[in-house]
Amino acid sequence: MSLEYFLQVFVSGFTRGSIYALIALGYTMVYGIIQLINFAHGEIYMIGAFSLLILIGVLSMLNLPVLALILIAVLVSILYSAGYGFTIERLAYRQIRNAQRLSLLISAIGMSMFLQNYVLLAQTSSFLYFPKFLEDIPLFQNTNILNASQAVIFSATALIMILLTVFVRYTRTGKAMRALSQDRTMAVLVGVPTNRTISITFIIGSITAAIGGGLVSAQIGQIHFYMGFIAGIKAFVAAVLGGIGNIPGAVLGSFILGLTESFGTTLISSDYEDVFAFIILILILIVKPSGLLGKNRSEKV
Amino acid sequence: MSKFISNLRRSYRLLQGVPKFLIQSLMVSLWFAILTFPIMVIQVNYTANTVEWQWGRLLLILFGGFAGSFIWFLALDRKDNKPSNTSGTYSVIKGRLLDYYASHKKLVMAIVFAIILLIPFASSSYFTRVLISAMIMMVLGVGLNIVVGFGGLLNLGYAAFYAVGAYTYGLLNYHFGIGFWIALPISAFTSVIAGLLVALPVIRLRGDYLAIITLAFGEITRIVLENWGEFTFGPSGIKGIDKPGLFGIDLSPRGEIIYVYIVVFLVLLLTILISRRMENSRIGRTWESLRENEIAARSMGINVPRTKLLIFAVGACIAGVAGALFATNISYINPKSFALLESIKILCVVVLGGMGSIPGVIVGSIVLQVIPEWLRPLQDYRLLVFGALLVVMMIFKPNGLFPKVRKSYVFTKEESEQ
Amino acid sequence: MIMSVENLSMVFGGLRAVDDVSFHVNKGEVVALIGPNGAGKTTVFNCVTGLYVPTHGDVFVYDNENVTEHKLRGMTPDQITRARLARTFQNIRLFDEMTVLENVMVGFHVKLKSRLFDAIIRTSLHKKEEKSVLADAYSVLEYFQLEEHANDVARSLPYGYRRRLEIARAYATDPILLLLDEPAAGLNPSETEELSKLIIRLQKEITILLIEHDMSMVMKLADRIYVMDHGQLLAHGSPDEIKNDKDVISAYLGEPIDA
Repeated sequence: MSLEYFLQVFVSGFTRGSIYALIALGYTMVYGIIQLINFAHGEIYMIGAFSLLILIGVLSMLNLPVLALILIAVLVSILYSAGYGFTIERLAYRQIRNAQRLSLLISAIGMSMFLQNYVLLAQTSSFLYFPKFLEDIPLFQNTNILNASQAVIFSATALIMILLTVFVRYTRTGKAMRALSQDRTMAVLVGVPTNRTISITFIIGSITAAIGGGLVSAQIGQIHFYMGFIAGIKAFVAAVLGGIGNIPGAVLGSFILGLTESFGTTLISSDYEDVFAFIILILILIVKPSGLLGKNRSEKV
Repeated sequence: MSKFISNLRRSYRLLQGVPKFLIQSLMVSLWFAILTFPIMVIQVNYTANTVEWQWGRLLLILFGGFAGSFIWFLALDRKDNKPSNTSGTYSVIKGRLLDYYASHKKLVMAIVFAIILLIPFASSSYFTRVLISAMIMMVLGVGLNIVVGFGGLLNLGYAAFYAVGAYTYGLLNYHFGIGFWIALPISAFTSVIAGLLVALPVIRLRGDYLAIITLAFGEITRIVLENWGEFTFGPSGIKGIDKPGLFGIDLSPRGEIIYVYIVVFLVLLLTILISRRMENSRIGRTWESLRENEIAARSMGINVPRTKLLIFAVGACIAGVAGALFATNISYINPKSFALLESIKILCVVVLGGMGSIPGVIVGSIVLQVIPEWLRPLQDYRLLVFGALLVVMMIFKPNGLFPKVRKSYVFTKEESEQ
Repeated sequence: MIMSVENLSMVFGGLRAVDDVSFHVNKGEVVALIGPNGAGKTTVFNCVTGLYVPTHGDVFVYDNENVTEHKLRGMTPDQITRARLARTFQNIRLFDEMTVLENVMVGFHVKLKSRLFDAIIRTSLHKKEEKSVLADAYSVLEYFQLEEHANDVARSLPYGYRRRLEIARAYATDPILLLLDEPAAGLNPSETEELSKLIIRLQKEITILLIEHDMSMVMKLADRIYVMDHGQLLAHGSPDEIKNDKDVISAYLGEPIDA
């Protein structure tokens, strides 16, 4: 394998990892705070992509300069995804927050099915073409190894990581999130605004997922109502790999998964692409269920 | 009289809430209209360079959202303020039916069985087929009920064992011409092996992790089935699988269907019987204690890892049997029937029916197999409704439609004396 | 002697939760293990009952009835229960969705032999055992005065009864040594009084080791007391001796103030 080829595969894997990271963040934050595996999260990613597509389409009728058009569309689609995330939590999860795990899980599965079919019925079942607006960015030289859209994806992901880390560590809401994820009863007792914090968690997660959805669609050039499902599962695997509930873990797990998939499909086989994720999942759950960076949540005896 | 007054009070309280609910509903419907605007109303077509505006849908959301949220708020309010439901008319009727059943058990059973056995003779092949698939779903539900309901082991990949059973029979039949009756125990056996293979790594895992890993195993199974063409014939599956034989007698197509129906019914009965017997025994209590509190169960002398393996094995065995039945029923299997959706469907049968309760599983299967058949014209909306149903059920009836009632014992003086 | 703990240590990372603790329990005694919060008492219990594997040390149980000696280190909790050691938990661990009667029936698990096969086919062994376990469980409930709630779901019991049920369930395993972890926690004075009476009754058949904070109860019931603090054994002796022990007083109350 030549160096150039190797780097291409590496960059490709890294890009995958970035997208997974953007989605995995949402999973890990929500799990950390209410111990729910939000199956519907992948659908937010998908809805982000669809919203962006639709907004670009509508706004392009207004003859705006391209940059402004893209920016406005991105911003509005992010708002919409945040709205969906907020609504889902309010509608389905808030009521049963203290119920059994199984109930929450099934509710999330139901939500996921509902959203998938909602988009399917409202839009279309076929693959939709998506404008690759990231490809021609001024001042960027496309090389064989790295192209413009990949560079944008990296920078966006890195920026979001930094912002999020700062947010969680230094802001009041970030502290509230950490408190709730460690000991909910106590956090409530000392006056942490539970409902609001949880809503904010969902909103942040939805925003990052939507950004991921928009970016990946711009890179690949097409979207489909089912795209959230498989991406969601893989991002989820990444979050578990890194330690669910742990933000740096989600990022680490995502990159490992992305690179594994990239090298795996190139070197071994591309039919079994999805299997890599599952095998990693099984291995990590057997060897270290709390994930690479996770801490063991042990039960007090 | 007091019942009348409390009903009156409840209605008054509901009415009091109405104006508040109206405003809230209005706000909610506006919110939804804005939220769903891009996806519902706007359809972009890049290749034709057009944008279509579906204003009708906006109205749908506005009015539907308003009505829906109004009913929603009413229902939530009712749920929170509901008195115990032993005095309602529904419960009274249910109570009387159950009493009659309890005292005339044998008679009721006999009549019900007779009716069930006669149905296929009086119905179309299509309807019989639907019933057969509903009964197979019940078998699966009973099996998963043991794993999830009794053992508390969350399994999101149950369809994998179902697939193993089906493909075992399918392949044996295709390659060696082995008939149903001989293949049935073999299917059960291979499924048990599969169950143990899955269970071994997961013994130490709890709750959510167990759910995830079983989901992973389920998906891997499906992917392997789809891609390992040389062995499993990939997406095209296996065709022409034999129906069960009746001492070599040649049956007409209709006769075959009726025969399959009876076989499936008998297997279902057997499964239910075995499940019941396991439930009301030391083993059943052991499993339930595992679900309730694993550490305490351990301290009661229960070998937790071994018990978990056993539960998985039993669950897998039943799924394997169901798989063989499935293969013989429609004579054609392919990986699509064993995807994640199937596992979720079986799980929903258990949860919606009522965890740990067999009548619940029966009702759940009928709801999830038969009703979608009736709604065939609305085919496209099936999954949409299904998803919404799940969310709604978890909020309003998390224990299912027929939650399990624990067994009560009556003690007479002689029994209590040492 | 029924149990002896020798040089038991339990180290978690850098923390010495239990530090070289040795004690013994004689048949028919009520021995109390007391100490401030965090002293390591429950950790000792967890080591003895197999929930933790101790870093050092050994635990021996001498079953005179069956003339066997068990070395508990390395045994799993279920094996230890079979070795006739039973315990209750600080934060009550009942089978909440099962009835009171069923909870006790699970307690009889170690005494029964019927297996999956027996249940499915309904062998005579199964039928006989089912009948007897029902009667035996009910008798246990009567002994603990819980028989009226036999068919109630455990979750619905008032707190005091839940504690009692947990002890009843442990009793059903027919232990020679019963470990009670803060049985009086959360009980009001009259419930504590009933608990004391119960322990006195139990003492006639079973040796008891208990962790407790309720000093008046401990002083009344215990034959001997061991005091722990910071993972180490501070003192031991009869209730009177402990009451006047300087180290014990300062551990609990801080340095004595010159009056």
